[in-house]
Amino acid sequence: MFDLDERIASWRASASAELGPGVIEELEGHLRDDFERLVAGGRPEEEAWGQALVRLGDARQIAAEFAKVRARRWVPGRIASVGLAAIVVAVTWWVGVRVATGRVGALLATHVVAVTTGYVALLAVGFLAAWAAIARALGSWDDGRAMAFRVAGRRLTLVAIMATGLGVVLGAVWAHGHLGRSWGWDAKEVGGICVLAWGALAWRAFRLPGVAETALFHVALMGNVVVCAAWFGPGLAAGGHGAGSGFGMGIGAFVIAHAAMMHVAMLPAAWLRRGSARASSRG
Amino acid sequence: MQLGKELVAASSVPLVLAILGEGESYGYAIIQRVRELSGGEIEWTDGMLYPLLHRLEAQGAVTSRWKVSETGRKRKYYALKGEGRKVLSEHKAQWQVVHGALANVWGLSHV
Repeated sequence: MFDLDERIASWRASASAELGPGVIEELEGHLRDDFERLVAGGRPEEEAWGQALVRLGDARQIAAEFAKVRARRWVPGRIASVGLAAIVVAVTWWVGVRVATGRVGALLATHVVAVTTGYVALLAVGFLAAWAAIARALGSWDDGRAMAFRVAGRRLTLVAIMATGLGVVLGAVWAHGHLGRSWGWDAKEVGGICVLAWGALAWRAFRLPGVAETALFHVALMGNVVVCAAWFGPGLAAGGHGAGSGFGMGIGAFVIAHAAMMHVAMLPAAWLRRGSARASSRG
Repeated sequence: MQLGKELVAASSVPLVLAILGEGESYGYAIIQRVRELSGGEIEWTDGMLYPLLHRLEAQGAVTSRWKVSETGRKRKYYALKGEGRKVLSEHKAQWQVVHGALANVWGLSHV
């Protein structure tokens, strides 16, 4: 006599070698629905079960499709998120030690953590744009990765806006108490506002569906330059010509590298792959 | 008529997103809706829908939640998110271009 629960248990046992419990649960519901529908349509139970299994497909093939889904979870997006979290934890620990020993007040420490989080979040978006631009030019780019880039960009720019905004406000509160004014348009304050403004622009660009990928790459890469200027520009300006050639050269190299990357971002998809294929065919 | 594998694959994302645009749904009901909409012409291997749904969820186009249905069975329901609506409208625009081009060329060839 046909026993549906027994068949389901047997199917689950074989599928569990290939699929996770959540997916098996979902597919079991599907099998039961299909079986019931076929039986209600007049099919004998044995036949209905066989047909439902065939329609569902082989667990190994389904598992292979799921493996592709996991592969499409964009690794650079995860690297950027984990990297940002690690830097925030490290900075929090670093300032936390200074607060504990009384060298820095809690307000200034929170300001430092917030600004660092905001700046690094915007740098992470630029990192993703550089990665994506190279991947696209090499031809290893698809709709899934493009969407993952937009989602990661939107989330990180939102973090950048919120953290930088909080940092700017806390900085103003600290300045009110220690410098006798909330805002003085000094280089660091202007830098913070610029990062905030650029972060807002980038977030808006990542949110709008019609904005071209190349434009997003440029906005994100330019964000890195803005952060670099905001973070290190005041130090360079204060040092004048005596600031040290290494520091200035580092900033110059950073900006030039980003300008070069913007050129890469303008290349059509798979242009570099076609270029290397042309070179090898000539050789 | 047997639809080509590539055409079925290319139409799967806009079809699923459009069905979810009608309201939240679960895998089996989505398959039934596809059959209904295509008059049975589009046949999927049912199990392949689920990796697609999970991919759309990973990309932030849809969201899911487990819910007990009226029949008492636990089902995973999927719903369209804002990002999914944007993707759907992009797909719609692209398919309309393809449809328009084919309609034009075939319309001319019949004259």
